[in-house]
Amino acid sequence: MSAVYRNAMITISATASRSGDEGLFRQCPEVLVRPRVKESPTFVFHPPRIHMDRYSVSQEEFPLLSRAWALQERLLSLRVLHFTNTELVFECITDQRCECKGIRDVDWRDSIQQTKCHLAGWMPHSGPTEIWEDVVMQYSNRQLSYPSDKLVAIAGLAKNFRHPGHRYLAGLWANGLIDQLQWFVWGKELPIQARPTWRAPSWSWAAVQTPVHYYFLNRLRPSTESYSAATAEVLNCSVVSNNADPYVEVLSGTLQLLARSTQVSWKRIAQPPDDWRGNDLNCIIFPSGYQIGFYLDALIDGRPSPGTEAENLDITCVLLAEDYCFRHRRLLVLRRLDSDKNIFERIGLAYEMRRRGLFMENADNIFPKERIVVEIV
Amino acid sequence: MDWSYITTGSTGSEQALEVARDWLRNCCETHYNCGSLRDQALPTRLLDLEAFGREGVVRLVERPSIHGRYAALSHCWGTTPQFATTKATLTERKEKIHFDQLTTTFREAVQVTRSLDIRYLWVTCYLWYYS
Repeated sequence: MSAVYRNAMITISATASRSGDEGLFRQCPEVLVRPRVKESPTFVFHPPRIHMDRYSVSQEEFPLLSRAWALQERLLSLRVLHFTNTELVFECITDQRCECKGIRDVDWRDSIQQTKCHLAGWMPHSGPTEIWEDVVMQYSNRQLSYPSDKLVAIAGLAKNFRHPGHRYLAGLWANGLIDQLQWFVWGKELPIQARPTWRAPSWSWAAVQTPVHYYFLNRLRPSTESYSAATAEVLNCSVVSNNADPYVEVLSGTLQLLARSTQVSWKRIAQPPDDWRGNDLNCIIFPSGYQIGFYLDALIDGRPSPGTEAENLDITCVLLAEDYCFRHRRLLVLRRLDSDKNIFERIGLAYEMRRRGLFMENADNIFPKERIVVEIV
Repeated sequence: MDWSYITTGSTGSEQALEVARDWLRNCCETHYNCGSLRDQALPTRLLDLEAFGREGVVRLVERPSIHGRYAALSHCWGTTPQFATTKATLTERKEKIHFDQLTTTFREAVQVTRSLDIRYLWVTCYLWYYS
């Protein structure tokens, strides 16, 4: 079906309508103004238009933009004509226009255009991994009527996406995987939720219900070239699907990392310190006593209550990526599933960053030097 | 002078659709990356908006030609009953589809497509075939 949108000359988008009964057309709000001067003409005054923003899409104003299925229809189309509540908006690979011209000041323009440009086979400024992460952020903010459609409603876009190697693994690309594993649940827009019925391995963003984020999109972000020797290495990553279409449905998936890892405890602290990164007061404590806040992916059984430590969970922390200047470090928080083997489930991501002259703890002080093989499912 | 194109009245007014037509024409004529007005592969099933003239009713056509120009519609399905074409309705819809058989959004999409000088329209649920 993606070909239908890709080949259309233009896509007419019922952006302000909740259903087929609401139609496309709206009366534009306007106020007639006549200055109190003799024989003055009447002026038409237009209240400011509300423009589409990037992620936290206002559902009342633009119902279509909150629907997960509609994202690929918009991004695959060469041109889109949006019918909003107040005006028409035109969007193509090269430009975006609206009747009031206010859209030129909106900062997400570039993100939509970059993606369209990439899909159409032109060379955008950003690399394919960054563009894909941006798509994932937008997509995960949108709603699905059927949670099992999580990978289905973006499959058309993924199939048309040009990523080096073109190996698709439950919503992530094999190339640049260490970067793409760094998604996290902010927990600000929507509270953390329980895991939905299994639809993707725990290392995929498709395994959670809530919106996901990536840090420092397009800027201030260490690139793959700047990773230090302590960064994890992907040994193997594969998914199994039963209908020979790995884009649509995944039955199982496994990720093997060669990484520095250590057992930690999971605590929910009572009061977060300044400059704390994490959601819902979740924190990991290393054997040395060093603490880092983390972003929990989903509510799981055995989660400690505020002020206490988890008692029956075997938690492990893996050093995922670190840059050689020691400014950024990303750690995966895992729960051991099998006591005999190193098989884990991802439960969160920790993000450390050097700021205001404070240094992060040296990785050598919190992790054993030797890297081991961990398997995440 | 760089005027805003603010139109008055409705987003479906002749004035507003004229603006949209300008944008589309400008894109097709001046944007190298967006491609020109060349014809593309047509989907197998489409609504033909000019079968009975530009004002008349529409009908469903099956692959009118290999290439051509068409508009697609992106919309929330909402709770609207699905208008999927079945074996029973296919023949009937190939004859003609009256406007009162279309939802408001579909009807207005027909109007917009016509005003953009495009002959065919593709609407998801209308054109999916369930046997």
